[in-house]
Amino acid sequence: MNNKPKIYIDLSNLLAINFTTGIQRVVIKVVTRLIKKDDIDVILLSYLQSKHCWNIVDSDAFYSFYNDKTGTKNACMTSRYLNFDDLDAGSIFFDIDAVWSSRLTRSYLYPILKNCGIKIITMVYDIIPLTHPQFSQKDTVMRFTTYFGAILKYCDKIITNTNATVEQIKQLCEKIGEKYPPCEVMPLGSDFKNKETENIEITWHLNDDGEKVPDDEFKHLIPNPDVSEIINAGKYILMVGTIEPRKNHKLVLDALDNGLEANVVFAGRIGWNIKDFVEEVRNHPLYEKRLFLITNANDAAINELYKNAYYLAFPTFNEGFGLPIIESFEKGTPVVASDIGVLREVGKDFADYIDNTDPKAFADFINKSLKNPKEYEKKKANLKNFVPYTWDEAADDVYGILINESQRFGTVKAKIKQMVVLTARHEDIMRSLPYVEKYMPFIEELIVCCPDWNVEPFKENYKGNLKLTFRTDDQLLNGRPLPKDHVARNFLLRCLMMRLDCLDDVFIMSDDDYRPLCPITEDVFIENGRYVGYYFYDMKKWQGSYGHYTSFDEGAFRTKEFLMSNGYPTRQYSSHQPQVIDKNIFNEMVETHKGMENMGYEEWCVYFNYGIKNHPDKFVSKPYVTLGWPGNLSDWNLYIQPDNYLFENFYQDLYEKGKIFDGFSTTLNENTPAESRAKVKIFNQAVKQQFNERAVFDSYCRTYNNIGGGFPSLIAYKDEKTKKLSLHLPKFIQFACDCWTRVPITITDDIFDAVGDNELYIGYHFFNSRELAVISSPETKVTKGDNHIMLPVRSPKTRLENCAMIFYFRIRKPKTEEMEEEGVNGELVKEVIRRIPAVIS
Amino acid sequence: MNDIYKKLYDAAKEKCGDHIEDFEIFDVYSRNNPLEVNVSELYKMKASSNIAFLKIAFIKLLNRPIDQKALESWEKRASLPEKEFRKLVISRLISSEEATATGKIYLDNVISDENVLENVVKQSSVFLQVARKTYQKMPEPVKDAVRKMRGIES
Repeated sequence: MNNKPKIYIDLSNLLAINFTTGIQRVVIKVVTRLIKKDDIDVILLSYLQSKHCWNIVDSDAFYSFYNDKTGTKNACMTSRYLNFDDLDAGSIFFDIDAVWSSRLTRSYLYPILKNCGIKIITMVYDIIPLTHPQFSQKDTVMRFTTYFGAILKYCDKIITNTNATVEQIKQLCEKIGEKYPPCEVMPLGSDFKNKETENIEITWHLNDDGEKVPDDEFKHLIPNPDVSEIINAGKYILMVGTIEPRKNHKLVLDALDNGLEANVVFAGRIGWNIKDFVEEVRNHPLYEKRLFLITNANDAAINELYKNAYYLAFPTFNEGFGLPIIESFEKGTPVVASDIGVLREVGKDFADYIDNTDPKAFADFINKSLKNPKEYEKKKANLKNFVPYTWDEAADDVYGILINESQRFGTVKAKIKQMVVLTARHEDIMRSLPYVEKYMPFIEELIVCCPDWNVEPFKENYKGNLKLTFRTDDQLLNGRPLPKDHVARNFLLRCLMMRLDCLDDVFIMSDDDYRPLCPITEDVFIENGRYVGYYFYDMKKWQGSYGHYTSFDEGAFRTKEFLMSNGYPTRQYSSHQPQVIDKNIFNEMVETHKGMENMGYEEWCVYFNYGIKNHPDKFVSKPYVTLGWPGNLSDWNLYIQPDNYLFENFYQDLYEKGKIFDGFSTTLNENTPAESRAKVKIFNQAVKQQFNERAVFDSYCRTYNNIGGGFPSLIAYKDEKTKKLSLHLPKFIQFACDCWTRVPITITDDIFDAVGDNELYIGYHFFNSRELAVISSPETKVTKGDNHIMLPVRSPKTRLENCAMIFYFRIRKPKTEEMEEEGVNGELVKEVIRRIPAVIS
Repeated sequence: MNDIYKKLYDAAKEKCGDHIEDFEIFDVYSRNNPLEVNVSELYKMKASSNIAFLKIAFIKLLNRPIDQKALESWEKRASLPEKEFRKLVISRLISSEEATATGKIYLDNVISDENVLENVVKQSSVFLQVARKTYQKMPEPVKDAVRKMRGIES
């Protein structure tokens, strides 16, 4: 089993652009080192907006392209994908790229990750769009503000590059009265690429024009463009970095007009809102004589410019770090920078500092230096004392932070020996116990919570080896009434049960019809120091059986409201299999939400979602592993396809004639292992079939969406122009044949207003080419206020040519009591019918 | 509106005045769901002006703020009556190539699906045009083989 902490990194921005600025350089330097660490599992991701998921990036190809400069960027992309909520709980999501510009906004993504028990660590280079918004584009300010809000709300840790940035974050949060996550400082590195390549022997060849050019693999080592003319033109002041208002290139240009005696070289790509300045440079009388602009220099060219510069100028108005300062020191070139906190922190005593608003003062400073060569040489010599922070050290800092954060995970150490069951049917639990005893040998004791009358028959009939302890409903309730509703009853009893002294701190909670299918070990329940919670749905997506909600459905809706209103994740954990419970955490939850035991929530859901949010170091969430859930695969659309089955939710019905497990034994015998394998195969095929059938409808929806129709809409509404009640349907519809599909239907409030005190029904027919109805659904009553429903639609058994689907909605008068008894519908008040072509494939 | 986003917005606004979008736009952006949008609800959404609605529609339908070029182009039509303008914006944006690339699901789209069948036909026509052009570029021996396969005499 892989015990390495998982680190997910989104590199969408880096992979999308074709230039490299400061941030992208940091991303490359740090990530190429992280992926080489042996004891973390780094998964690189790229957002695929058309599929709304991540594409997994090939780490080796990424390393080759970005570190070795071999291979292609395309080779980095794989055909493996990851949904946002498929990230492993307990892992770390590390945001290091310029993600505020992503279409996958962090205000959307981060809550999903927190829902899954993921830790979020973010590199914040600066908060300039918030402190100095005038230096950013309008939409950047909006994007960054949203991004930073998500960081404050959801991040577990921030990494910055200077204490100055931490101070800015602190001041901003104090101003708005909000807390901020813990911050750690990681200075940026500076070993420029060419340092690693100084001893490489470059090979050359002659091109078609007879010119000597480097071989392809060495092209990046040759300065491009050739900067030798600029270097030979005389001493120059260099500015490196994107040309934008914040960097204050204007100061140095104006210094040239104020008597600056050195040349000026601006090397960087042209950024935002700088068009006028660039024109000013290109139209300057000294342009290309003493003033130079290079917008496409490669690393080798920049390296040459650094090495030969008289001074690097860095008169920026604000920075997160100031990487060029470090790079310049490392090349032995003195630096003159703005006198602001962050640059003094980075440059220390090795740099000179000036007023970045006075071009005359800047010109005087440089000219004075030119007249004092001895002082200048002393300054350059002093730079040899500068010990650059290397990228290896910077990456190790990040690695240390990630490891430290992940080491806090997996703190559970518990031995499981108890199983606790709530049951009113001793016959059912009796049939399940032989499986438990055979396949879960670590279970030594069974705690049974049951009605009083169940105890004696249980004791009389049980022939197994488990130690039995009984607690009756009366003992638990101690005079309280028992709720009638199934879910409410169970939840109350389980909450009361958790207070029992006879319960171990950690035990397996089960129901009377859950059976293991194969040998089960404790690490099914506690894996790498974390409790495993098995989920089968997302409560937010739970639709239930519209038109006839069960107690389970109603409980699920109440639970969803509770989870969402308390900011908890919303996975659905009532997966109908045994699950591990920590009594103390359960009781802590009940104590936190006083009175919740009377609210009829779904006990597995509230417990695990509470645990994932409040004790992320103790929980991990995994897809369920239950055979026979749901019992009937047409009950609801499956959310996940299990890739393994360890338990069965036993339904006697499924073993009857004509049903899915017809012919299989219902009791433990010597054929059970072989039968279990066979049942798994059958059930798995049925699950796959449901997904395949749904895939036809899902594919139709996507196609319809992509041809400009939007998601196929079935809406009952009041037409604005005609004021008549109408049905809006897609121009055509498509289903797989002979299957159930849940079709989303919207009913607007206008319809409910028109219905008034009457009743609303909706339904459909399928007609063949001879206008004969091959399927007619019963009317489904729509409850007032249900604006969005999922209508189960049964498609014709065979593919039909020229099939038509007719949807209708009917308003009827309410039924009288007599009508209810006779099963007769109320009088029809109004009917609206619409017909569309249906493709049955 | 969650406080933290509003507080940060106010702090930024204090610093830069008009150099940040109006709050109604920011609010939409910070809550945007990149996966899906209810088009009918968008159509009825409150907005202070046609231009404000346009900016909101870009975020909700294409998952991004509007760019300057698009803004200048749409400003010419901003004086249209509100409903007409909104229908036009929604139709144009949903049927754009960018919309297809976002993979966004446009729910309850009663506004702009009138041309769906036309689009199916158009797409088929586009396919035929491309096929025709490809055939024309083929070497003669290959064209012969294609004609033979289709049972057409040379």
